[in-house]
Amino acid sequence: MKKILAKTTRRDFLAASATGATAFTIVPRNVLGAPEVPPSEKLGGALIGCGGRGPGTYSGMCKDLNVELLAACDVDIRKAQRFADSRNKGKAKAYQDFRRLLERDDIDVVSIATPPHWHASISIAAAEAGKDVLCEKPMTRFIAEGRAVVNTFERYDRVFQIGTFGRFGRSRDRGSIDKHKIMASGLLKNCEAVRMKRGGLKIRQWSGRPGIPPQTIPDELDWDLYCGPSPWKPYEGRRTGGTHRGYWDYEGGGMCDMGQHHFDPEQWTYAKDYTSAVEITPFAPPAHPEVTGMWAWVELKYADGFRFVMESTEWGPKYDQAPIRDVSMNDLSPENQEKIKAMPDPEPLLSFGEAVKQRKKAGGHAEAAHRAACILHLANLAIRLGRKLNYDPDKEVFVNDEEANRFLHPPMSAPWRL
Amino acid sequence: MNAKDIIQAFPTPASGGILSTIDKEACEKAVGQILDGGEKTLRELANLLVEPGKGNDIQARHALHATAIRVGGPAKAKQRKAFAKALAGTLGDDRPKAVKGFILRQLQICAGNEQADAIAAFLTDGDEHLHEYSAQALEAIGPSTTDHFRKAYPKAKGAPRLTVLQGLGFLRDEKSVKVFRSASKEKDLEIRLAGLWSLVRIASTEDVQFLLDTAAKEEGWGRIKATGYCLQLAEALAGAGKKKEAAKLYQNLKKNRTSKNESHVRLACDKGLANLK
Repeated sequence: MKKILAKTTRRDFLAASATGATAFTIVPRNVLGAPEVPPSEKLGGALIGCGGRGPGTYSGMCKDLNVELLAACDVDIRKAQRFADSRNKGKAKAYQDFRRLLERDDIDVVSIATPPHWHASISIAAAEAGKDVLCEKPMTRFIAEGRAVVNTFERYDRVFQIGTFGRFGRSRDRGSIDKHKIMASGLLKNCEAVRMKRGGLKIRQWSGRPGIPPQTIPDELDWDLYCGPSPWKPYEGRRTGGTHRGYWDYEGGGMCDMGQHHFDPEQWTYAKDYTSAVEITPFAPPAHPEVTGMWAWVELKYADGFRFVMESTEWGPKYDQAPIRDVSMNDLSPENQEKIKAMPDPEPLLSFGEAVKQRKKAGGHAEAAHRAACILHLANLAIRLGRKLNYDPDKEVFVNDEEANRFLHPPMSAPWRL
Repeated sequence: MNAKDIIQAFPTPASGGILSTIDKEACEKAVGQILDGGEKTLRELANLLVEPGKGNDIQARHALHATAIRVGGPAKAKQRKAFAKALAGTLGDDRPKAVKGFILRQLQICAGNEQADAIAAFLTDGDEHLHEYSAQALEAIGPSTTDHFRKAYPKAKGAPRLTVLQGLGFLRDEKSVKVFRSASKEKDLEIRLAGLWSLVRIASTEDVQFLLDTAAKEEGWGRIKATGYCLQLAEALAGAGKKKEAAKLYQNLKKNRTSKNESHVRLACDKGLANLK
């Protein structure tokens, strides 16, 4: 199905508007933000990864937009067919291979809800195919993937929004806005704030079960495609269907499952969308090679002294390295407090739908999502490596630790590559 | 102490099948004992590994991995080299291929160029995905391993061939430029794309026209990816100060990606050209 605007396609409009060549008269109403978008201005939508969070993520993507589901994809073709039939029977087509779906030129917006080891590769391919993307969290499986996603969306000026939305509330909250301004101002030197996330990261719930014998691959599942860019392993059911979270190959335990929800809004509040921690200190026992497991706490310290701490509460001792305290105006001199008061508030964050209409960055854009994912990945790497890590947030490499750097861009299984 | 006793410090699955009863101090001590035991203890440990589904080696895998991890990091080069040498030595033993796959994955974490010979022996072995684990371990070691990929490529068939080709590209092997160009013209789409991607990784001005011509022949998924590679090459050249060649790529793509569903490519070209000014 082709969605056509009155005199031009949406793609024509987007291309022309970005180069400043569009006449006002052909601007479609949805782009101008009219409350009602006529049926003729529908966008073609697709969902890739139809189990678990898939349907909810797709619905979230459609908010503020007029979208018709045209395609659904899953390595388990039954799930794709079920979702396609449930939302647009007879019109939406089911796929098992996302490449065939992305080849279609009538799909404008794609929701990605596969396990995280696929998020980056599919997001990148979708942008290369000209689609806007709402991608489930966590954004990536490893750090180099995030940078590649950022670069690709920047290259094509496509809209990316991560599937967590806590920062939108923070951006409207007076207290959070004030903290954001203090931190963004750069006026606070040697920041002593320590922000603690205690519990809630589902450590035991998303710990993997080691030693499960290989099982027969179900007929409807393309197991090689499921493994995709991650190292191939023999099939066993717990590697799929939600319990994939317990395997390093696909996600990274409760840290990655819940961490982006928690730290994405924190990252906005404390103005860390464009940087990462410089020192990461863990307290954790040796990690298992395949499955995620126990840890006690991780401290991530930024260049300005600010610290995020996560404490599992499900294993080991409590964090005891520094007192927990927030940022406040009292941390600044009276003169600097006046400067903060004079600073304008940050621009309102745009939802995915508004960003698509206005061709602007969404509130949870790729760079911010990548930096939030880096919090989780750096914490998990410190847990897995069992040592303090020093990180260069500009070059995105560990300092003087060649073995740790091997985890930042682990080689991918062919034909997948960044 | 023998390896079987040492690894008892590592947990077995508790309630829910997870490793929640792990004792950090005991495990760290066990890692020290494995290292103190040297090659003999390490071989004992490797002998405790079994094929998935053929027995319980949860503690042995955990202990071996923990040791491979803990010999890494600053100021541990001597310890890491000794451990990696001994671990690579176990690849020559008579073991199930799935076990060798696990050992290769541990070498990916800790091995150096000294272990490349032992690892590369599996580059063309498609059983149990050994070629993949071997390639990934060599890629982790770095560009010093390109000789092994170059030697393996003519012998590799099927999945290993693509993996080896991609490995050469990952490592940016300039000596393989002809191989990459040749691969870019093959029948198999994935081989073609791996060839083009590899050329982009090297980012030579000499491949500008070749990439444009080759990418223009692709359709569907191949065209999407190949066009993306052209844009990446333009960015790489622009970053290296080769603005004329970068502009050529952008202008060519802008002129030739004319279909409605390629408007985003034209947009990217306009943006790229603007950035060159």
